[in-house]
Amino acid sequence: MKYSLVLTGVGGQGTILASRAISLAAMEKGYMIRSTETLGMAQRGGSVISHIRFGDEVYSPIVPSGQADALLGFDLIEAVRWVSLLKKGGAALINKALIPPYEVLIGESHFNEDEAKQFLDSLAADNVIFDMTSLAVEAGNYRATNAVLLGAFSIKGGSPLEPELLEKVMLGLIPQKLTDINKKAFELGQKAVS
Amino acid sequence: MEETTGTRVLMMGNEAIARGAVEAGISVAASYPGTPSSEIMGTLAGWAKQFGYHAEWSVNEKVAAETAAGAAYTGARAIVSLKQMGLNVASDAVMSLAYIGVEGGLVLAVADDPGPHSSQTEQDTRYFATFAKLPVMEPSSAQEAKDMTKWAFELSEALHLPVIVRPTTRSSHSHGDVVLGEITSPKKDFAFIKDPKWCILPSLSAKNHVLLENKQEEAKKLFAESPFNWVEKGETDWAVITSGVSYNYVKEALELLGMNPTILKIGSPYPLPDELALGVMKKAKRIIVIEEQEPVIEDQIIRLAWKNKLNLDINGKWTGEVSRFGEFNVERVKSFFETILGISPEQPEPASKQQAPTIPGRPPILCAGCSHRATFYAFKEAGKKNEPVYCGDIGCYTLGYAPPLKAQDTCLCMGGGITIAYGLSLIEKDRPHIAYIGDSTFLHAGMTGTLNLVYNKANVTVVILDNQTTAMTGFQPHPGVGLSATGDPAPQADLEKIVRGLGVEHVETVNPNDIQATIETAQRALDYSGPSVVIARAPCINRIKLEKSYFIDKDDCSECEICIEDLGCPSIIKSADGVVISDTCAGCGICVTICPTEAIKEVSK
Repeated sequence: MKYSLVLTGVGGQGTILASRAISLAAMEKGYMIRSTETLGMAQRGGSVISHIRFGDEVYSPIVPSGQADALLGFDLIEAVRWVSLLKKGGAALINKALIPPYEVLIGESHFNEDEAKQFLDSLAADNVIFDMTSLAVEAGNYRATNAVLLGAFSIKGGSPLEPELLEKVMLGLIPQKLTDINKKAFELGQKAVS
Repeated sequence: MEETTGTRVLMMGNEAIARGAVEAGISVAASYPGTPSSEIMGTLAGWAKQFGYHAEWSVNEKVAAETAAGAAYTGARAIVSLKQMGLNVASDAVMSLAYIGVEGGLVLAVADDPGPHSSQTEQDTRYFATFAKLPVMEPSSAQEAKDMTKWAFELSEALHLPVIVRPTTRSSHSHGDVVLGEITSPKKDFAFIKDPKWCILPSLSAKNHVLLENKQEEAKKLFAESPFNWVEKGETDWAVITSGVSYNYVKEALELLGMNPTILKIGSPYPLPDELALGVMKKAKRIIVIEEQEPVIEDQIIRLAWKNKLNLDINGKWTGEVSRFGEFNVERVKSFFETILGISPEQPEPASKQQAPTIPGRPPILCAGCSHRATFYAFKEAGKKNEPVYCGDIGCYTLGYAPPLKAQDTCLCMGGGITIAYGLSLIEKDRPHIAYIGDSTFLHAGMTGTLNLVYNKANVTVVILDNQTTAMTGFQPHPGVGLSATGDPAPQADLEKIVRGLGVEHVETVNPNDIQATIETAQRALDYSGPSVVIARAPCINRIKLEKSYFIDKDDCSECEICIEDLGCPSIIKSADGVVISDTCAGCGICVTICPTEAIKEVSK
C-alpha cells in the first residue's frame, strides 16, 4: 500500500495543521511516512503546498507528477496550480472560496473563476468543490476551514485512515476550548460530501 | 520531549537533528537563524532546560561557531546549526578549526537550499567540506538525520575534527517516522588543558596540514564501517551511486521504470569510502551518479576510476545528463535515467484531458500592516527630488523590492546594504544613498559597516528597520529584544547607544507608523552631511494585535488609487465597487495619512 496526497493553499491558512493531522493518523496506523511542506519566507501570503506520503514503503517526500491519490485545496486557485500532481481518477476536494493574489487585486493580472471551475469539473476524479470557508464560519470560526477539509477527506479521500481516527488526532492538535467548533466543522465537512 | 527509547514519533528532519544532538549528550548549542536550518535551534532551545545544556541564538554564525569550538576545546560536545550562507560567515573560524581540531565532538549542521527556496545562492556545502577538509554526512531521511548527527559526534572525537552534517531543504523540512534512541546526559567535569597545540602559529599549521591530510584517510575507513553507506545488490550491468534525499528519488524512479540495478547509497559524500565504491565500480560497465547540486561524489568516482585504470562509463553532471541546478524530484531523476539509458519517456495519464487554465502568480508579499511599508513610503517622499539609491539587506524587507514599493535597488548579503551604499557614494557623490537593514541583521553584520562609514567620513543614511524580532525566519529573539533563546530575560542592546558608540552623530529614532514625523526625520537624515542613522521602530505586525481596522468611504473617495500605487498593501484592493479595504486590514492606519481626500476612516466598533 502506498498513499499520496497534496494539500495546497495560501500561507497562513492552516495547511500545516491539516497535514500534521493526516501524518499523525497514518503514524498511528503504523505506516512509514514521508511528508514535506513550504516553510520560511514563502509563507508570507505566498502559495504553499504540503505533500504527504505513507504506506508500507515510501521514499520521496515530494509527490511525483500524476501520483497524488488526493488533492486537497484550501483555495480554488492553488488547487488549479498543483493539479498536475493528481492521478487520473484521484480524489479532488477543493474549497470554492479563494484569496485573489495581489496582482489580481490591483488589476495587473486576471483570473477567470468560471474557467477554473469548469476545468476542475473536467477532472477524471471524484471531484467535489464546495464552500468550506462558509461551513467553517457556520461551525463558529473561519479558521476551522482545515477541520471542514479534513472531514470531507475522511469520507471521500479514498485513504485507509478511518474518519474516527482522523477526528481524534485532529482534536488532539488544537486547544481544548476550540474542540466544539472543530468537531462541528469536521462533521459539516463530512456531511457536505456524503 | 518524549524520552522513552524505542518510541516511534513523527519528526521534522531539523527536529531529528536536534534529537540526535541531545542523544549524543551535547553541552552547548549555538546558532543564528536561517531558512532552512532555523528549526534545529528552535527545537534545541525548547529542550535545553529539560536536558541541562546551554542553547543560544548567537549574534552571528561566526560567533556561534567559535563559541561551540571553545566549548569543544574542553572535551564537551557542541553543535552549531546554520544555513549554507551562514557557513560563509563562519568560514574564517571553520577553516582554521580544521587545522587546530577539537577535543570534544563538534558538529556543524549546515542546511543547504537547492532550488533555492529561501537563499541568495545554490552553493553546495559538500564542496566547502572538501575545501576545508572536513568530513561531511548527508541524511536521506529524518531517521538518518537523527542517527547521523549522534554518530557524527563520535566521528568528530575519533578524528579530533569538526564534522559537518548537511541536510537540504527537503530533508530539513520533511517529516518522517523516527525511532528514538537513548538520551545521554551531558557530563559536567570538562576542563581546558593548556597546550601549545591550541595556538595556530604558521609552524604549527605547516605540521597540522599534513596531519589533516592523514585524517582524510582515517575518515574514509570509519565511514566505510558506518551504517550510513550501503550497497543494494541488483541485476543489471550498470549501477547507481547516489546520496542524501536523491536516494529516495532514485528508489522511486527505478520502481516506475521497473528496473533493479545495484545501488550504492552514500551517507558520507566526502571523503568517499573508496573501497566500498570500488567494489561496486569493478562489477559494473556503467556507473550513474545521481546527486543534487555539484558533482562532489562524481568527481571522486572519476578520480577513483582513473587511479585504478577501470574501463567503465561514468554518467552524471560531467557527461551532461544529470543537472547541477535546482532541486531534484522523482520525475527529474526518472528523466535522467531515461536520457542515459536511451528509454523513451513515459508520462502518467493526466487527471484531466483539458489544458489547465493559466494561474496568476502568488509570490510572498509584505504583510498588511507591516511597518517597513511606512518607512519605505516616508523615505521615498523625503527623497523624491534626488532619486536616492535604496540598498537593501537580508530579511522580510527584501520583499519591498517588488512594485509598487520598489524600495530595494540592491540586495547582496547580510550587512551588505550599508557597505554597498558606501561604495556607490564614493562614485556618485551628489546622490543620496540609503541603506535599509533589519534589527537582527544590523546586529549580525551591520555594526562594522557603520563604523567604516564613520571612520571614512561617508555620506550615507542607514535606516534600521527595528521590528524587535528576526521575523523572516520565524520570530527568533536577538540581542535587541531582551529575551534569550530559552525565553529568559536578557540584557537588551540599545541600538541608539550602539550607533552613537560607533561614532555616528546624527541619530534619530521614530515610529514609522507616524508617517509625517517619519518623513521629517528622513528629510533631516538625508540633509545631514556625513553618516546618519534613523531607527524606525515599531513591533512586527505578526506579534501584536492593533484591534482596529479601516474602510474607504465611497462618498469621499475620488478613485485616484494613490493608496494602491504608493503603498502596495495587500488589504487595499480593487473591486466592482471601486477601491476597498478588505477584512485582512491589520489596522496600522498609514493609508489614512496619505489619502488626499481623507476618504479612509476607522471602522467604529
